[in-house]
Amino acid sequence: MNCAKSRKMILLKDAGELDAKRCHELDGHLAACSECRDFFRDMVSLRSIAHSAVRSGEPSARVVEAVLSTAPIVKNRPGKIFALSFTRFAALAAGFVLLVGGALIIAPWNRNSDASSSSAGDVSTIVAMLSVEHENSSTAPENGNPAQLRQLARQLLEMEGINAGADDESPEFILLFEPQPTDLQSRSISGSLPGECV
Amino acid sequence: MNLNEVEESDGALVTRYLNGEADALETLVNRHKIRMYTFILNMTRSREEAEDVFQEVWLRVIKNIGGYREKNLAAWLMRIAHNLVIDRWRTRKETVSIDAEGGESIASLERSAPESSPAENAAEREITARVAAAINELPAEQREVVLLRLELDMPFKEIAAIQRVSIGTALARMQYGLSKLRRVLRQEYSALKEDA
Repeated sequence: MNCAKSRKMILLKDAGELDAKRCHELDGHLAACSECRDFFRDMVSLRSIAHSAVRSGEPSARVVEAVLSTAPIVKNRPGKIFALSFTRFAALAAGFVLLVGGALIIAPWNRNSDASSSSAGDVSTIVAMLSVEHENSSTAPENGNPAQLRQLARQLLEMEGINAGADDESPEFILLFEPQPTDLQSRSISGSLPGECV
Repeated sequence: MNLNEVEESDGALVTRYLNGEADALETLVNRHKIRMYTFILNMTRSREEAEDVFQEVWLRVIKNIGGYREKNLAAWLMRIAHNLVIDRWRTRKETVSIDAEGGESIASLERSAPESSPAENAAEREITARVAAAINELPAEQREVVLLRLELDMPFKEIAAIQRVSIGTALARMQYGLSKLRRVLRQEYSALKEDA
C-alpha cells in the first residue's frame, strides 16, 4: 500500500466505511509510515478545530414560521386527492357505461329467449291449472283428452296475446303442450304423490 | 423536543405528515434545522442568503414529499440544499468575499475551553480563526466535502451522492482540502513553538 492509497483509507476508516481486511492493511502501513501517521493525527486535530471554526447557527424563528405556515396549503394536497377521486370516478363511469352498453346489446337476445321461456312457463302453468280444474270440475274435459286441453291452452294463450303457433301439431308444441297423464298428476297442485292414480 | 420525537423516525414523521398531521412537519424541521442551516450558512457565507435557501429547501421538500422514497431524509435535505446553492452560484457568479464574521465560532471556542489560560485561549482562537479562514478559502466543492465530513459527519458514500461524483472524487477533494488546512495548522503550530 502506498501513501496516497493509505490516506484515502484513513479517510474511509474515519468515516466508518472501511472493511476489516483493508483496516488491517492500513494498520500495517501506519505502523511503518510516520508521514501517514502525521496525516491521521492532523486530521483528528482538524476535526476538533473545525467544529469550532465552522460557523454554526440556526435559522430565525421567522423563517421556520414561514416554512410551517406554508405547509398546511400543501399538506392537504387537494390536487392529489382530486386526482385520485377523479380516477376512481372515471373507472366507475367506464364500468357503468360498459354495463349499460352490454345490457343494451344483449337485451334483444334476451327478449327472444324470454318470450319462448314465458310461453313455455305459461303453458306449463295453464296445463297445471287445467289439470286442477279438471280434478275439481265436472264440466272439464275428460282426463286424458289432449286435444281438448290443447285447444283450451291455445285459447288462453291467444287471450294473453301469445302466439302459441298455428301448427299445434308441431313436435315442439306437442312437447310443450301434450299433457301426459302422469305429468298432469305430478304437477297437480292437489299434491298427490307421484305414482298414485286417481 | 420530547422523547417520543427522538424515537420517531424521519420516515414515520413523513408518513404522519402525509396523513395530515402538521405537527409532524414541525418536528422534522426542528430536528434538521441546525445541521442544515449550518451547512447552508457555510456554503453561502451569508445569513440572509442562508435563510432564503433554508426556506426554499423546505418548500421543495413539502412540494415533493409525496414522492419521498429515500431512507435518509438528512441526505435528501442536504442534496436539495446543495442543488439550490449551486443554482445560486450559477446564476450569480460567486463574488462574496471571505466573511470575516468569526464571532460565533470564537464564542463557542471560549465556551468549549473554559479552563484554558488567557494565553492558551488566545492561541487557540488564533488557530481556529486561521482554520476558519482557510476553510472559507477552499474551492466550493472541497469546502462542501470538508463541511459535510468534518462538521456534519456524513459518510463519503452520501457526500458522493450529494455532489453526484464517485467516492474516489469525493475522497480526492477531501484530501486536497485537508492538505491546505494542514498547512495552515502546521504554520500555526510552528509559530506557537517559536513563540514558546
